Amino acid sequence: MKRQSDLIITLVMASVLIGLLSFVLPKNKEKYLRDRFWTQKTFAPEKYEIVVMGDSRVYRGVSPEIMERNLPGMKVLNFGYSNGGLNAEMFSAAEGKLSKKGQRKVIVLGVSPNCLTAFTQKNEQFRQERMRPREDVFERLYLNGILYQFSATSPEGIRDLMKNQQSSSYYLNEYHSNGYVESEKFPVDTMEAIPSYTDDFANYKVEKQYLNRLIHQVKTWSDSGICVVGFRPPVSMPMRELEDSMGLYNEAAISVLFRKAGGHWLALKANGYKTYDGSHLNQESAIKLSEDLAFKIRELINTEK
Amino acid sequence: MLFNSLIFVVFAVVYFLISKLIGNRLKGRLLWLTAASFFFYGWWDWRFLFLIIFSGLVDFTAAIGMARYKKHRKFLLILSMLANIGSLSVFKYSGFIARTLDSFLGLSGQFALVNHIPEFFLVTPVGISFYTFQSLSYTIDVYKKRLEPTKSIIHFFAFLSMFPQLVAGPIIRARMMLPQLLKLSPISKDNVWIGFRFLVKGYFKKMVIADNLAPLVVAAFSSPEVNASSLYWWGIMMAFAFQIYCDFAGYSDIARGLAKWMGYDFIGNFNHPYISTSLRDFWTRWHISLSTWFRDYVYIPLGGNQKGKFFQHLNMWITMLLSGLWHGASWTFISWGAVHAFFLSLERILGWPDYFSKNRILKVIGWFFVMVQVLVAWVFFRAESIGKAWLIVKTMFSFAGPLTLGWGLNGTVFLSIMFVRELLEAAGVKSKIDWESKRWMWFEMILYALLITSIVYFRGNGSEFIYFQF
Repeated sequence: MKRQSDLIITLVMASVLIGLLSFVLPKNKEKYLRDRFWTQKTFAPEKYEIVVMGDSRVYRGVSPEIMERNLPGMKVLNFGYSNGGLNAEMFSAAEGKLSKKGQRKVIVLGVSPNCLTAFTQKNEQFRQERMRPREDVFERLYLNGILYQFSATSPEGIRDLMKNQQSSSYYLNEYHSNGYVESEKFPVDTMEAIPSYTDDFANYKVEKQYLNRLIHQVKTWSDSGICVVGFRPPVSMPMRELEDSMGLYNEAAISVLFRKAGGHWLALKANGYKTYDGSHLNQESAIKLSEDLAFKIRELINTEK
Repeated sequence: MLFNSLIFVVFAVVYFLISKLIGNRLKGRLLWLTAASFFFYGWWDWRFLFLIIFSGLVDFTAAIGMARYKKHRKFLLILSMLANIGSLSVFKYSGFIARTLDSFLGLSGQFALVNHIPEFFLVTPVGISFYTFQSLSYTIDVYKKRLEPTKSIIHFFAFLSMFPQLVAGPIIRARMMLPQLLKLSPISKDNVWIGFRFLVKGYFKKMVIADNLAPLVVAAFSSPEVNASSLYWWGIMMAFAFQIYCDFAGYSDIARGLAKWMGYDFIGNFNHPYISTSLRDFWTRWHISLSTWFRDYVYIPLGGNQKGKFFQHLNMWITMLLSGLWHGASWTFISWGAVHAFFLSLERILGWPDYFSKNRILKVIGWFFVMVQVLVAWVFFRAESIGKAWLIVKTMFSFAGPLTLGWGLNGTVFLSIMFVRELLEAAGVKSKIDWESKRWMWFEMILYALLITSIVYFRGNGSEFIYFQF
């Protein structure tokens, strides 16, 4: 005959064990911060005067904090997603993040070649976040701080902990609530991303239909009073050459169309920034790019005044 | 709502608290159970609640009609079957039927039938196969006069929509459940403990074993090229066998645990299927509520084994193919049923279970043969296409390629836990223990504390239960 006390004793033993192990077992802080970061970016109700959109080069390369420092009184959101294609779905989501009360509304578009290929039009990461069940969103936004204390591990995780193994190559990511991921990678290898982009561009190139759609949107926004700024996210020189040759990216032509549609194109120095893998900016260059963008926007605002 | 989600924990706490407040007021209890179950189901997609309500209303009315208008009993049964099988066909099989016809008739583009099906009908409502079968068994039993129909609609809907088993079984029979729902016996302390054990075991199977084996299986099957190692595929199929077992048996255990806490009993759905020494034995241990459903409502009505050997095989084949189709609207599931039917026929013709039951060594050989057959059949169940499944089976029997199981440390640890568990069961160790002795009571408490701790720290990446899609 089992008494209720057996149940209580079992639960007490389990609680003690769980408590003790929370001090010993490895914690996957990165996972919890990352989960909260993406959910916050997608679902947080805050509104902004400036929304920067694009792919991973944008969310790793543009710091809203730095921009805000140079644009007093304006709130900035980094709305970049991995393989974020520039299409109607993203345009509408980004527009939804703009403040309705703000006097100035600015959308900054990081127009990388990747954003204009068929591959990124699926916007898989954004959709995955958008479709996340309500309870997951709640858990990630409000309970991650507690759940993190009880991070799941695995036999392999424990083995690595005991051997004190760390991968020879690793990222340092700092997730900011404004959508920016401050990142570095060790060791630095500016040729690292070239092979995967070579594969990508073998199958997917910049397509006119996606570019036309972008230009159409720039015109629609500009006509409705939204200031649109475009730029090509800086990369290493070999990557830039690859994008131009294999990816069929033509910055000069895009900038002309962009300006014709009422947007403002920021031509950045090709060799003015440093990347850690050929594709993403290191912290120092991300700060520089953010400042450059802020200066351009300030200049535009001042001109309009 | 998933059992392994935080929202379900909140839901369950609220459910049991309010149940406590309602106490022994029968009507209130049934009403609350039905309302909570509808909320539980509607959390996924409220629109499909109407389907359950429709199906339930048809069957409730048909059963009452059968009792009242004896002359029209057959007509009412056919009506109920048409409504149930009709909605199942529309929501689960319309896409499959259209695609099959398209490929048979060579239709494509705007002429393809599949492109003319409204999108809403291409979404399979969670658990439709489970509650449809449950509802069907009610009207069939009333028709066969095995059961008196209930006159209370709330009583009927409490049975049909009962949340612990609504979306993935076990498929409970009205004969068993309707009388239980009317009982107002207090929940014993024994049942609280038994329910707790079911819950812990269920969550452990799902969150620790199944969810940790899933990545190995997904990686193997999603790779565009089939790995060339024979041993690797045997290893992966073993991982899948335990993934699907723990996923589904885990759900059934959680359902049984919740039922115990509500004061009800569900039948056991699994009984260590992987220690079976014949395929026939396997089918008495795997998804018991479904196998017995097919036995009672398909195999026996077809004539069972009463009409000679040929019809015995034919009836078994029909039952197995339907069972495959029940699992999913795809030729791979039908093939899975066919592979099982083939092996079952072979087993009956050769009569090897009798031979292999003679001594322990022969039993082990019999067990080995059963595992080979079950693993081969699982390939068809899991693969995206029959072509790919066939390629994998060929690789499995090529006995070539690198000698790697593809488990890694994680897979090895979690599979070993299951191997040891099944081995202990096969050796009958559990039944030799006096669980009421102090020593073993402590052992049990420590074991369950460890299981809870493992659920917290060794949980895999949460995912839906595999059987939700059926």
